[in-house]
Amino acid sequence: MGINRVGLLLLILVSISLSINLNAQTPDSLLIASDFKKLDLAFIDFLINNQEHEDALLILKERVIDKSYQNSQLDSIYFYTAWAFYNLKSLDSSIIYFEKIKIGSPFYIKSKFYEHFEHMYLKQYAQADVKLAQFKVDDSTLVELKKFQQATSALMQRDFLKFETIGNSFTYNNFSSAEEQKALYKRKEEILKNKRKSPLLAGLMSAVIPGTGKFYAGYRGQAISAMVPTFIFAAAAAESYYRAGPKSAQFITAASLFGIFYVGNIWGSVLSVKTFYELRNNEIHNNVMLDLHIPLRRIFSN
Amino acid sequence: MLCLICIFRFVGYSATEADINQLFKRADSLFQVKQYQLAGIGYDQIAYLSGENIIKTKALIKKADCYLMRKEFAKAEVVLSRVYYADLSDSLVYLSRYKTALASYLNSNFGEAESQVIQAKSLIGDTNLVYNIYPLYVLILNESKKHAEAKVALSAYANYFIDDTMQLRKVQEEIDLIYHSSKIPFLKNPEKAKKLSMILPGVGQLYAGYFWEGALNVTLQLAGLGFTGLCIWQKYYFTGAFVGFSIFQKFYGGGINRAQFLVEKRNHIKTRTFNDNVKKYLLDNKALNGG
Repeated sequence: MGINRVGLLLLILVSISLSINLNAQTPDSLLIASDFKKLDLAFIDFLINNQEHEDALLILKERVIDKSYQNSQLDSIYFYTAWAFYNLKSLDSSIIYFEKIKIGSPFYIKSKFYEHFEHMYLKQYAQADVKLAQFKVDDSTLVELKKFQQATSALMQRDFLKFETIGNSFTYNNFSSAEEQKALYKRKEEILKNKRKSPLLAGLMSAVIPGTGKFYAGYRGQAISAMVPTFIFAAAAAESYYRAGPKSAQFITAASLFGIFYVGNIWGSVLSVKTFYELRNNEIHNNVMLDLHIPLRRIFSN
Repeated sequence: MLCLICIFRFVGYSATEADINQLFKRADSLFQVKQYQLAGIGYDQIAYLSGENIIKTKALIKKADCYLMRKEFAKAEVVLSRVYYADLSDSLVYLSRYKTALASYLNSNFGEAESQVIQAKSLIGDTNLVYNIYPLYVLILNESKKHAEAKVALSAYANYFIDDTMQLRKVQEEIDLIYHSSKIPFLKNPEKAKKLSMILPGVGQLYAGYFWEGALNVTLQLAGLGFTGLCIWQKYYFTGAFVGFSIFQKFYGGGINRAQFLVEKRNHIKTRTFNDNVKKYLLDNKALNGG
């Protein structure tokens, strides 16, 4: 009996050593040598720090759907996935993974602030507001940052009353965000200056004096270039009418060209009101987002 | 795909030399089957796990190869910028500098490419290795329009590698012919073309070598002026002054810009033809290629 047991043990040992040897001959031996269920997050961090975001995502891709990891590991996987997407400027995808990180994770605070930032960058202010309202922080620096994000969201939605209410509670004694908090008031002035103008008035102005509608809309340089050809064809049409009469080919040609430029100029002026307003708005939005990003980088050092 | 990624499930593992060799084998095999991204991750994993700068450098050079194969030249440059040159052998310094110069050359970053070659020349003691970089150096210098220096470099390369005197003389003659003053692209000045067209319409195009375009431009400008004259003769003063003159002015201004563009286009074609000829000569010449 005792010999049988020893024999069985030897058989098992031989089988194990054979299987190890076989594995050692395959290129996947390292796969076997390593722990399947754990993940070397330091390597992911290494890839991300070396700007190899696409490589990091390729490794993380199968991990984000694997539910066998512990919560803390999953949070890390979600964070690195979100962070890689953020660096690749895929903000929608980044938000999805930031959202999954649970309270208590060391990445939680950072992920929430970046998530709010991404919503605001994508002009999803309502989502940012809801998440900011639910987000609790105690640290004075983070409290100031949260107020800064809330005030920015209110400002970008043109809710000046809410902006003033939050802005009045800024302490300006935290170097991480004090300068940008002050700059937010300058942005408010810029927003107030960028008033929405009347497309109807722009069209009427261009109908009376071609080009003036574009000047009113804000495109001052374009006003002259719109005015000149219209006047040239108007003069040519008037001269042809006077010299050759209303049925002459010269008049019909010049008047047709004048008509095209005249109507085109009116229509262009109507559209330019909207385009100029949006162009200026986008400029302000980009500047505000830049200001919003600076404290994040200062506080979270990345 | 998933099973290929599995190799990178590596947990806090202290890599031995055998492990590193195994990882190299695995990444090399992925490279062989053109799985360049996975191979690149494998090489980066080696760079991450190994404590030795020599191994890290080898891994980074191979990772850069993956990017070169994927035609992502800028990323190859970034990877090679991670190489730390202290305590590296001449052959590794050569390989790293060469690959960086190549990546920069392919990324049209010729200043950086030349800088890498100059550093290789001054830092590598092994003359044989230094001369190996010369064909690339010639191409870089050609792109930077430093033709005299390119000729010197190509001659030096031939002198170093060709032992047979007769063969060397033949190659030297070919180099002289390639870099003969009549063959080197004479680049014209786009600003001069603009000024010529400003003074005399159509002459800028003629200077660029596009006679018929110049003639057409002059004809259209004359048509504009003719229309003006005709209108004024027919007492259509406004039409003549505004419409006719506008036609003339448009073709006059357009002709100036077109002359500048045509000179730039001609310069590009001439440069490309010359540089591609040199490239072809370097690749096809058996004596220079050791065959």
